[in-house]
Amino acid sequence: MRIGRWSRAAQVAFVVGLALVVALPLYWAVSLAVRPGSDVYAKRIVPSSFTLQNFQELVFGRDWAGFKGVSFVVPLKNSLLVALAATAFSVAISTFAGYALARFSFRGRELVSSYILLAYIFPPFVLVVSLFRLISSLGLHDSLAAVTLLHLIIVVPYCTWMLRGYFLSVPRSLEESALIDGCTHLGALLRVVLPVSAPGVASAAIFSFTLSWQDMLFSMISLESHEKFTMPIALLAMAMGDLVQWGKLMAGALISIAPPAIIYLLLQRWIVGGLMAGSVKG
Amino acid sequence: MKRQIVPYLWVAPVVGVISVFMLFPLFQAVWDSLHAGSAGGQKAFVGLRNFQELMATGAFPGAVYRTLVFTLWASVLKLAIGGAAALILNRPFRGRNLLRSWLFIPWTIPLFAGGILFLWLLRTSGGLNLMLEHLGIFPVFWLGPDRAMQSIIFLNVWKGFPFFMITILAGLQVIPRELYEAAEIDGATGAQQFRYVTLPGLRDVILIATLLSTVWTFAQFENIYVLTRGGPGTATETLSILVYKLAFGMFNLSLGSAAAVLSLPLFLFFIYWLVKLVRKESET
Repeated sequence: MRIGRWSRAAQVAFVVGLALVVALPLYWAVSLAVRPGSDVYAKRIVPSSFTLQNFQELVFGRDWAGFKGVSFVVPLKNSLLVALAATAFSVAISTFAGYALARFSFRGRELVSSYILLAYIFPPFVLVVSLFRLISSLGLHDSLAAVTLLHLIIVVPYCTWMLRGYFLSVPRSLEESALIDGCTHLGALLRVVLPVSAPGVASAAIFSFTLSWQDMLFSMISLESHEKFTMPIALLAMAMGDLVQWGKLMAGALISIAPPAIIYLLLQRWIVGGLMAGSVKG
Repeated sequence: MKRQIVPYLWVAPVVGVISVFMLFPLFQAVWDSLHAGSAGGQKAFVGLRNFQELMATGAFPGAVYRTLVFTLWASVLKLAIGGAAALILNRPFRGRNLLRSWLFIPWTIPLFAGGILFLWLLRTSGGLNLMLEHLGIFPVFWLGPDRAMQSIIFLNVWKGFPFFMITILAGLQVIPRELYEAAEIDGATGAQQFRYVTLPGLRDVILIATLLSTVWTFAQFENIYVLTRGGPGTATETLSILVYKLAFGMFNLSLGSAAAVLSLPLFLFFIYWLVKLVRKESET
């Protein structure tokens, strides 16, 4: 394609402008998080001095949103716990389902595939009232177990669909020889297919983790007590009320942004492959 | 015999999870919507009264209108900006890789965290107004009744355009180079190549990405709740916010369920289309 020099310059200007818009909220978050508290209302665009006080107070202090006694490490730990548990469980059951959908031919396979895809796309807000009733009737209200269970409906369909796609790309001949040698399907999956599918399983696990990490709605309907809060609702609580501590709030937001951002930037290449099969909501 | 049972055993846990946490709750929502909302005790069957109430108060029609405005604007802008960025980044220039990684960042930011960042950026004495003030421009009430809808669209586009950018970039790389060479030999201009080679090659990618994003945007909760909570008043009260407010703000689970059930037909068609498309795509 031949394009004039000036129109090319305009194009590059467009993406550079876009990059600045992307930077704007991030700049402010960092700039507020590292400036001293007295600076927040001083109408300064650039901090007067640099300090890590906000981060220190979040980690070591116990007063980040008006409720005493809980360090910000607690919601961080809760979010990690929930995301890890949901991911581990999802990967375990999705591996079998994904493999079955990719390799076995059985009646209803198409139906099951569509069912899983439907669950992946289905908007959670429609189910939120019934899910609240479900976990309450199970006696799980105000527990991290409830959040973990609810996250399964976000994570499992995605994980299964992605692993199905990955297994489809693994050549059949690999396990066929194992099956001829008398290996069971289970044995073939565990000993032959899984070892070569490590990249697929790893990326399914990583995306599952970030999906669980992103969710706020299910935490909101499940949790009441502060020591059980996950990251999103801890930040939400900090953002409420008349006296918002902006520095700490932004420091907390940056802490919640770091894990997925680091994971994605490191794995950018892999993401595109999984995109069409389904990916992180946005 | 054993062969036939194995596949079902293997898919059973996943199908079970989806049934317990999606299908069953869906039926429950329909049941709830037809019964009285009073907590505890026997819930009386009230027929369509919950639906009538939602329509009569204007709460539901209003939320539908706002959801459509939000979804339409946000989706169109995400596609336009993401698509333009993809086309520009597809051709080499100095610093391209760095720029691509940088533009990708908002997509990695959790929805709630994006809301928190914008909370400071857009508040009256916040980041954007501070910068405008330095330029001598009067502060704008970004989260006031007139601008709140634009603000949540801004946040949603900021967060969501990279999705289109990287999907379309990936789609562009799949279009065979020979097609452009052939077009060049036939004397096609840049615009003609775009119209007859690039666009047809991207058709499915754009369609799927747009549909996916439309359904997600339609159901968006986190962004809006963190930034405006549906306010001021009901200025940004979309369907997801309405359902949450009715069920957990007013503690009327039945009314909340009714609003959820009533919003289903609005996007069921999109979901059906999407499932068909992705199934077709994954077969090839």
